[in-house]
Parts: sequence; C-alpha cells; structure tokens
Amino acid sequence: MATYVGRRLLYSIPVILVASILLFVFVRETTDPTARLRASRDTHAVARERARLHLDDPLPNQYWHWLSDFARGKWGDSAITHRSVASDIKRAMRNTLQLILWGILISAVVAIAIGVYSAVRQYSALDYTFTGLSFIGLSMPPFWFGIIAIELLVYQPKHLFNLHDPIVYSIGLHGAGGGVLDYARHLALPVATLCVQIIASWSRYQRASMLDVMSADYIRTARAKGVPRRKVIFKHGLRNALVPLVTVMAIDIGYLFGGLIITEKIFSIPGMGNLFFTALDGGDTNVLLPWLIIVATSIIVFNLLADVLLGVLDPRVRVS
Amino acid sequence: MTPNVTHHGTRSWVTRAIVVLAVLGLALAACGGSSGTKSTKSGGTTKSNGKALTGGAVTIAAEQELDCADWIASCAGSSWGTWTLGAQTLPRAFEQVGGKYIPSVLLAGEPTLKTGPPQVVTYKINPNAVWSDGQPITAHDFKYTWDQIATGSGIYDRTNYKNIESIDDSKPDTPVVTFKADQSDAAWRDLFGGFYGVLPSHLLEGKDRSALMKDGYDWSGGPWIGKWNKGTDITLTPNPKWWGDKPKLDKVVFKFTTDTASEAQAYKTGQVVAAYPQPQIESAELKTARDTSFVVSVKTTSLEGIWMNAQHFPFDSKAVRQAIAYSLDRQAIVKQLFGPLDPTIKASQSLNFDFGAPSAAYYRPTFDKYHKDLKMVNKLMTGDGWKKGSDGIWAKGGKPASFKLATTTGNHRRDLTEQLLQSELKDAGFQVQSPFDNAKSGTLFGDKLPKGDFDAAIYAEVATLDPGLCLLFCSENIPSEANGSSGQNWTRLTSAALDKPWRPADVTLGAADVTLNKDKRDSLIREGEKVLADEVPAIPIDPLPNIVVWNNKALGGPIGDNPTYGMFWNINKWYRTG
Repeated sequence: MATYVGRRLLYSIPVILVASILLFVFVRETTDPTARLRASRDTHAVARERARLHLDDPLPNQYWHWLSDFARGKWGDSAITHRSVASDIKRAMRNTLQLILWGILISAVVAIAIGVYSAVRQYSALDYTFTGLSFIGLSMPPFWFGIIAIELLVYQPKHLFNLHDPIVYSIGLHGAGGGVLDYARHLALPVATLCVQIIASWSRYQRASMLDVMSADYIRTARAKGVPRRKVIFKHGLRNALVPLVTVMAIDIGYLFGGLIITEKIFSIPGMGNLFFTALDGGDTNVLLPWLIIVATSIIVFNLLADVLLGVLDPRVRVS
Repeated sequence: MTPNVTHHGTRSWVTRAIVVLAVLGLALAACGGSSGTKSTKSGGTTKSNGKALTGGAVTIAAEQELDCADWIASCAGSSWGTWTLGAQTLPRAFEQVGGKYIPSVLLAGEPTLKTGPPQVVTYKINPNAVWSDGQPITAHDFKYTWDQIATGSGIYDRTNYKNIESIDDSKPDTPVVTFKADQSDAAWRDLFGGFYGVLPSHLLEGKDRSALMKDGYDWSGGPWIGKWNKGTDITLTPNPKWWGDKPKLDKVVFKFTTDTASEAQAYKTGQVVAAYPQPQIESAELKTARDTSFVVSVKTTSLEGIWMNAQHFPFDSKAVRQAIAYSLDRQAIVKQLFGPLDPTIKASQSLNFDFGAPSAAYYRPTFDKYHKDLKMVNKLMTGDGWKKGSDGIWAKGGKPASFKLATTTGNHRRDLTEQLLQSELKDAGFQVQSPFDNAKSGTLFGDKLPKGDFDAAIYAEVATLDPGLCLLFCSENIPSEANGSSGQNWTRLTSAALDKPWRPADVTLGAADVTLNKDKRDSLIREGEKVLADEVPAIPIDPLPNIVVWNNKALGGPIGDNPTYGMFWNINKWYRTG
C-alpha cells in the first residue's frame, strides 16, 4: 500500500510543477502586474515592483524567482487591497472551506440515503420522484436556484408575515447577533445552493452503484443464507457500493475550491470564488497566480486522494 | 402494517407542523406591521419619528472593505475605511458639517489664530478628552501625529503638515502650532482632522506605527471601539471613556457587501437596516422599499465627466473640444441618468467641486456657457477647417472626427452615459466608435489613462485637497519619465495660460513659489478656472450623488449625508426604533 501511495505521490509532483509553469506563463503573458501602480503617487512604485518580480529577467528566471518566493510563503501584497496575499487567501479559504464542509456533509448523507432507497425500492413511486428531482436538480444552474431561493425563502416570507428579520439570510456568513443559530441562518441558503446539483449527481451514482452491487452473486448468497435484509443492504451492499461514489466525491471536492464563484458572489461570501472574481476584475496578478496554483494543487491533491481511497477500498487497484 | 403506521405518523406530523407554522406565521404577522413611509430629500439630516429604543445591534451594508487602518499611510486610501472605522475611533480637531468647520468635542473651543508671520495656531484640548485606556489626549499627541505625517515613510499626503515649523507641547492641554516663517496656511483647520485625526503617542511612539495600526487596533479616541474582521465586517462597540454624546446602540456591524445587487437585496430583505449605495440607476428601486427613507445628496466629493486626450486626434484641437461641449445637452443626460433617483439633480458647471470647506469657496460655474448649440458647433468646426462628409460626420484632411470612448466595464450607469453621448454626438457630426473601448477599472486607471492610450473616457474624479486642480490639469503633471509616470493629468493638456495661475496656487505641488494667501489664491484660481473652461480638456457632467437609505422603522436619529465623513459621521446618535 505504501508503495502504491508513494508512487501516486511522485506522479503528482511533476503534474503540479507543469501546471504551475503553464499558469505562470499564461498569467505573465496576458497581464501586467505593475498596471495598477501607474496611477500611484509613489513615483518609484512601478520600478520597485518590477525589481521585486524580476520582470526585466527572462521568463524562466522570473518563474524560478516566483516559485522560490511562493514556496517560502513570500506571496507579496495584493495590488488592489495592499494586504498580504497569503493572509487574504487564507481567510478566503477558511470561508470557502465552511461552505464545502457543510455542503459535502449534507450532500453525502442525503445523496447516499436517496441512492440506497432508490436502488432498494427500484421503480417505486419515490424512486421515480427522486429520479425526476435529480434531473431537475442537475439541470438547475446554481445562480438561478440561489436567486429563486432568496426570493422564496428570504424576501417573500419576510413581507408576507411582516417579519423584522428574515428567517434565513442571504448575505455573508455572520450577522450582528452572532451564535450558532445566526451562523446556521446564514449558511442555510448558500449550502442549499451548493448541495442541489451535488445531491442530484451523487444520488444517481449511488443508485447505479447500489443496483449493481445488489444484483451481485455474493448478495444473493447472503440473502440465501438468511442474513437479515438490513444487514445485507448496509453491511454487504452499501459498503461495496460506496467505492465508486467515494472516488467521485474526492474529485468533486477538489473542484469546489475554485468552483464556488457564483454561489459566493450571490451570497456575498468572502471566499475563494469572490477573491478570484475581484482579482480578475482588477487585474491583480499578485493574487491571481497563487490562487490558481492553490486551486490547481487542490484538484491534483484530491485526485490523488481519490486514487488512494480507491486503492484502500479496492485491493485489485493496488495490485494492478 | 408497519409502513401504514409510519405513513399515518408522518401525515400527523406534517399536519401538526402546518398548524404550528400557520399559528407562528399569524403571531409573527401580528408582531410586525408597517406603514410604508418613504421620503426623498436632498442633503441634510432626517429625524425618524419612531420610538427610540435603548441599546441593541444593527447591521449596515458597507460597499467596500478597507485596505488598511494606518490612516496616514498610503495604503489607507479607501473612503469606506475612514467612514466606518477611522472617523469612529480617531479624535479630530474639527468637524466638517454643512461645508463649514466646527471645532469638535476634542477641543474646548475655537483655537486662537495669530496670522503672523509666522502663523501660530493655539489649540485648547477639552479636559475630558481621554483615550479608551483612560490616558488623557495631550499636546504631545498632536506633536507625535505631526511628526509621523511630516517625516514618516509611506505617508499618503503631507499637505499642510509640511508647512509646520514646530509644535510646542510644553503645556499638555495646549498644543501650539507654529508655521514656517515664509508660509501661512489658509487651510489650517484641515490639520488634525479630515481623514487623519490625532494619534495616541503613549501607545505608538517609539514603535512601528504601521505594524500596530494597519490591520486594525483596539484603542480609540472616538465614540466607538472598532474591530475589523477581515473579509467579513467591521464591528463597532461603544467606547466607555468617550466624553461626547454616548452611542445609543450596543453594537454596529458594517457588513462588507461589495456587490450592488446583493446590497439592494440585503436591504430589501431586512438583513441590513441602512446602506450608502453607489448611485446606479438600479438604486432607485430602493426608494420603493417598505419603511424606507431615501435621501439623495449632490454635495459630494466625486465629479463625473468626459475626459479628452488633448494629444490625440481630434481632441488635439481646442475648437473640437469646445464643439463637443456645445454638442451636448448635459442636463438632459443627467436627467436620464439620475431622474429616477432625484429629478432635481443639476448638471455640473465646473471641473471644481462646489462643496466642502476647502473647495466650495473657489467654485465658479465657468462651464455654464456650454449648452447644446449646433450652430455654435458648425461655427467652431468650420472655423477650424472641418467639413461635413456625406455621412454627416465632420472631416479634416481626409480624417473623420471619429474617436473611441472608454469607461469602466460593469457599470450600468456609465454604459448608459456612453450610449447617450454617442447618440447626441452623432447628431452634431461626431462619430463615437462602436464597440466602446471599455476596460476593467484596473486596466483603465492603471494602464490606459496613465499611458494616454485613450481618446476620450468617462469617469469620476475625486476632489483634490487643493481647489487649484493643478494636479489634474497642469502640464508638469502629464505622466512622463520626469515624474515617474505618476502624473495625474491624463488629459495631457499643455496650457501655459493654465499653468501660470494655478501652479503657484496649488499647495499639493510643494513648490517653492506656492502662495497660501487666501485672496491671492482666490484670484489665481479664478483666472485658471476661466482658462480651463476655454481649453475644455474635460466636460463636467454630474456631481456623482450620494444616496443615503435606511429603514425608518428599525433605525432612528439624525441621519443624513456628510460629504467628508459619509453617512455614518454621527452614528453615535443613531438608535433603534420600536
């Protein structure tokens, strides 16, 4: 197992390096990191930044200097906010992680429950209902769902019942009140927006995988031996049916680090998506480059995790 | 049978839930209630009629997050930072209210002024004035603040402070400011106020001020103690040692809501009780929100206009620039842009600012001679050798009067302005090229404008500290290698007639021949403003209005706009209403 993990880990290093080279070249060739400083009253600001980024050196040298600084945590300051890029990204990551954590947790529980039920009760009324809802969920863009959810769950109830405060909030992660309830009321809508497509997608995977497993010989044998139905489903069926879903989940989580731009924008959450949007709009390459590298790295890391998990859950993969 | 029992149980649960929700809804409905009051006013403060409640917390939308809280440093350029944190925590010598300077509660009264030379200002500190740790605010705090601004590194602006020769702090409650013998400072009331205030020497002296302040601080000499939760909000709680009007609220949260649409939605859904939104056309929808007071103020620090590149064809001709000014019905444009917000807003008639203590005295409406007059356009253009082609566009030497118009992307109001200008200028024989030359704000202000890579652009200029506007129009401020490409004269106008009066009138240049005599400056600035209206490097369109919005069923107090300190300048007097 250690050899397998080590080998996968070694494969990932050149992938991250190649990704960083490509991203560096694309960003450097398409944007000018000193553009914003031209409007500065500080006459030496542009020259200082050019020297700091070694912009007068050949591109490979620039990359090497950037990589050394990046690896040592010297990410510089944002051209827009003048704050430390490292602390901005750390803060944004913390907010995005909250969304991802709750979103994944809820999605996993609901999707697995739906998938198992739909497989066990195949072609039942609820199976058809879940199938229909899954397709609706898959075809519903997050921005649309988010806006409709705000209208129906924030705006309308407040005015219908003349409430002083809305039941759930649509701005940020915290309010003036503080506390767990306040936190939950802020998280409810963005997490729901995040969950809809994920639940729809994962529940289909889980259903298909569960159906596959439930028709396997060992399940039939277990049933023939008189093993209780609940034990057959959860111990023999679900455990094996989770293998493909776990790998899909790991890959999806990697993408979420950079893929919540619309959700974060709609709900004004200062996470990675909002940070990217602001940096892109303002041409802030000091933020863009580390952001892209971190997101690319998280995708690669979670792909690696998916491979490792697959190896852990299915010994045949390790052997091959 | 088991499934049936379960279903029956579920049905019962659902029924109970519906009943509970219905009762809850009715109870809540009974708790609420509103009369739908709305108001639209221009300027001033408005008092709410609701019953004042003691304490409580309110959440207010903040459109921008500050960059840094070291207010005197170059990193602290954000007005929102000063409005929400700086002005709430730093004591300042003077308040600017209604365009006038009023001694603040930091002082025991109006300082005494000896005109000199040398000019000497003697302040008397209020004996009750203390920092949040109980230490008195002293003359040494004034001296320390001056020293930091005048000699520190990375300072945003040293104007006025560099004219000070010394500050006598021998009497702790009486700072005596002596100016340099050859300088008299007409704007001395800006000292230890404005966006700077006074810093606590006992906490900062001998230490790295920037490091201690830039990420926020826990001391205060104002009505509130502020906590900056980066990326999320600024939370204000009352300063127990504040000697002025005690805050009536227990907590104020300025929630960063940088997206205009989200801000409007947050207000309408009651997630924030007040907002200070940018004057977008969409902001008008807030007027109709329930229980809303909506105030539009045109006394602002931003002036929007069309800025022309005087080194690019066809704007390298003064006649063309004047003809453009005669092509536009600016009042009609302003009505289209801001009519839904406030139909009384007038077009600007100067490239100077007609509000605020530093500028208002110098404002003259020199652009009021420009109104839509196509005969005048014909006269100017034909006089300059232009002829109209078969397409109705002016041409000279085979080149049509065609140009690119740029502005920042993603701003609906400016998009509409472009379309209106394109249409009006076409009628007058000028072609605004399609598509527009728009760019992201970073690219436009960081690249295109400083490099002169534009023909004409629509953007707002922010008031300079000096009414001479030399920074924006004098030839030495054209971006060049000589000034490290940092000059702000993006119109690239070179006019000796303008440089002559304005250079010695502009204190921001720090030049040796600068005069600070008010009468002499007034005369010089007046002369320059006339030249500017003749040269027309830019055409003023509107004073970018400020909008103050609040829920009058949730919030009360003397609420209104202050052009310098924003909407929140007197937030210690606000209260929740019942």
